[in-house]
Amino acid sequence: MDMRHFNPTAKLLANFIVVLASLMVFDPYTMVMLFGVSFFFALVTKSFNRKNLKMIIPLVCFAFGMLWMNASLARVENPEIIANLGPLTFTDKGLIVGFVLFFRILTIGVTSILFTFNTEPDALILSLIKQCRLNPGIAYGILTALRFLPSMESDLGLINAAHRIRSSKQKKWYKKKNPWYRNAIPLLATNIRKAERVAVAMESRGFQTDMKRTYYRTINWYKKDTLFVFGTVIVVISIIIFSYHMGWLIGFKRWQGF
Amino acid sequence: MAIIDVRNLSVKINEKTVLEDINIKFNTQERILILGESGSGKSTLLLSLMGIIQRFDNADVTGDILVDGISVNDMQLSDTARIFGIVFQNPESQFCSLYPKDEVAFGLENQCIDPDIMPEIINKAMEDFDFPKEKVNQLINTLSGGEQQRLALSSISAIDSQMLLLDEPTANLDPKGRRQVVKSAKKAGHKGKGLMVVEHNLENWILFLDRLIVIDRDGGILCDGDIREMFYKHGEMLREKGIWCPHSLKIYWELKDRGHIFDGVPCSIEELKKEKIPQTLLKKVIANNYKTPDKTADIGKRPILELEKLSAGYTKDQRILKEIDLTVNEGDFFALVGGNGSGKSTLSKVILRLLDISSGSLSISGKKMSAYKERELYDLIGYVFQNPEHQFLEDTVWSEVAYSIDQLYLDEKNRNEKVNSLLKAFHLDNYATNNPFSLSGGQKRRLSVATMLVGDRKILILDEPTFGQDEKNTVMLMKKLTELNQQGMTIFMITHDLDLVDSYANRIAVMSQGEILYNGDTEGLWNENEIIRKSGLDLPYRVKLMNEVNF
Repeated sequence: MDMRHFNPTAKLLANFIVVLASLMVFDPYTMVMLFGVSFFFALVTKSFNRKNLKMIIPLVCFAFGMLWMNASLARVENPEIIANLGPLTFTDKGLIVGFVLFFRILTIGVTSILFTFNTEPDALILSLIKQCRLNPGIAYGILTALRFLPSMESDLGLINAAHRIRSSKQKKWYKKKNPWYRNAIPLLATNIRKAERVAVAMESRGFQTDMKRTYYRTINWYKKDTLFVFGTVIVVISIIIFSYHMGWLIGFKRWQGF
Repeated sequence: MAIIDVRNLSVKINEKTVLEDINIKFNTQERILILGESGSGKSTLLLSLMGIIQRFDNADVTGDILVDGISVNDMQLSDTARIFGIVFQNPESQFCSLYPKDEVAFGLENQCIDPDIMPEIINKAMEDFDFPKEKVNQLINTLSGGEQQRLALSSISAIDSQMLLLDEPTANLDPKGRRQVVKSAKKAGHKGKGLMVVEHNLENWILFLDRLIVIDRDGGILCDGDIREMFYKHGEMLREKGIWCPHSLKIYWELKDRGHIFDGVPCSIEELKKEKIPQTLLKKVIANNYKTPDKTADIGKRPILELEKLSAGYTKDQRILKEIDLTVNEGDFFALVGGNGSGKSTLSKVILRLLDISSGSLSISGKKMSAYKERELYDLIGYVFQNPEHQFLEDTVWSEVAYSIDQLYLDEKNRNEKVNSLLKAFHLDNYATNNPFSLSGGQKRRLSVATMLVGDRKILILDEPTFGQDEKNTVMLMKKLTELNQQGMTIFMITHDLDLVDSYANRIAVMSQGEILYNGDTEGLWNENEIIRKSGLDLPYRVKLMNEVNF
């Protein structure tokens, strides 16, 4: 199944449903099922590649952090100590809380990959204009910002290099990197001016934010998009009902972590 | 065709007068050249015609602009877009879409054109302006400057605007891109579109324009009329005010001063040629107008920078620089030239160790690059970045220079003296307490050079130092660089402006697709037509003129 052919708004909705469900449940079984389904779906649609997996490394580290911290530090009722490591004690219930958070973060990571990998930014904007009645002024603002991103990255490289050459005086290793505001000022100065110029250029092509306009490329909503969103809802609800019948389901209200 | 009537137009931006009481009348099929000192409000005039300046919060506009009797203030932007289409100086900051076709469609969408007929219009517009077919699905960011400007022209022509306003469209392009854009704009002119041009690189198409409007520094109109008549009548005044004019006219004026009698006003080399000027006289005038650097013998000079079979690239398998051999001697005024994307900046990054060498060797002052510590290297080489803002670190001009000096462990009294003398030398002493970001383009450039001139730096590398600078600032900067060079500093300048090279550099290397095509003295390159053609460059005016009149 090629995810690219679905409407971006449909994908955004589906993503939102899964993330919302993962935020509402608080038992490891339901959470693992939600994660499993998302992960399986990402595998089937071949949405993983080296680049996007690399990009969620920080998220995975964060998830691991949540896992061990909750296992050792969570405030839970009647905990049973399962392990000791120096001053840290790990409890069974804490570990469960940790697992829930761990899989919740990973679920959000995987669904985000699913969405971003399969969606062209300009298609998303066009779809938001059409399906969600997003103001074209805001929509084109976002699109232009997207165009600026690569140049901002190369600018940042140049700024760092320039500052390195200028401050040749021996510095301690931790001082070698610029504080963020040193980079922010030149970056902002260049980009605010650029933004102003683009705004003028857009007006010169006859663009006004409150105008009626047609669209060369339109992103339509087809039956398969409705099916896709409903499919996601059905899968998520089935998981929750199944979990409820098995007596596993714990909702947000009964959470007693920390 | 529409009649445009500008009546008593005055514009103040942030309380500062930019245009003062402008009165002009023209129709949208005319071909008009606009000249004026930098900062004289040329761009503001173009934007006022479109009714855009009038919408600025910080602009105070009086007077009116009538399009066929209707005030531009009462028109929708989408209506004015059908009268005027504008191409800006900076290619990359005038697009709002990711792909070329979407960009051309953007204007059509604003005109509420039926999407079904858009593809046909888009294809035709892109074809008309020679937009390369194989690049229609490429991201706009990855197009060259010349391609981006042709895309901007296509977007205008798709809406069928009656007149093209060109705000220095070739200022940021290499000679090849420049030629492409001029060709496309001329094509539009032939099809009956009017042109209003603000431009410095006019040699190729001044003959194409009929009317000249000159704007004064105070924002008023100095003269307005037939282009040759104006050059004939007001030459003296234009020269006095230092307003930029095409090379051929400068030659014409000087010949006229020396008593040569002309049949007409020659605006190009071809027309000068027809005037049958005595060779000795022309030679004198050329020598007077165009300095060429001293060609002191290279014998006995020590090499300061030696590259042997050097290759490098941004990834493992990529080779942007291909086995480069290059030697720069101590005290050279060296120019590295080549079109956009030929690898010039990459080479400078390798010299500064911002990029690793994949094979070959690089020695500085006879010592291998790897033997230098980072600090030693940057104490030896100064680098002036293309965008001066990238290298500013401090809040005031004074502390910006002081920061560089602080790297040298001087005592406070010495430091203050040194800062003040540097600021004075670069005409920045009146701006010592200003924020570097609030300076004008020329001042920013001078400050960025000044901050690199502390300590005993032996080499100064400059990446396109005259990019986006007007003639006055360029001359001022080049004078400073020549002084430094005479004091013994090696200047390594990256550029694609061969007129500049012809006037200042004594040695030159030409780069194309990561290879060095020529490395030798500047004068020698002017005989290598094949290399000039291959690298997409253009001979300097002086050489072209000499070749044409067969010295």
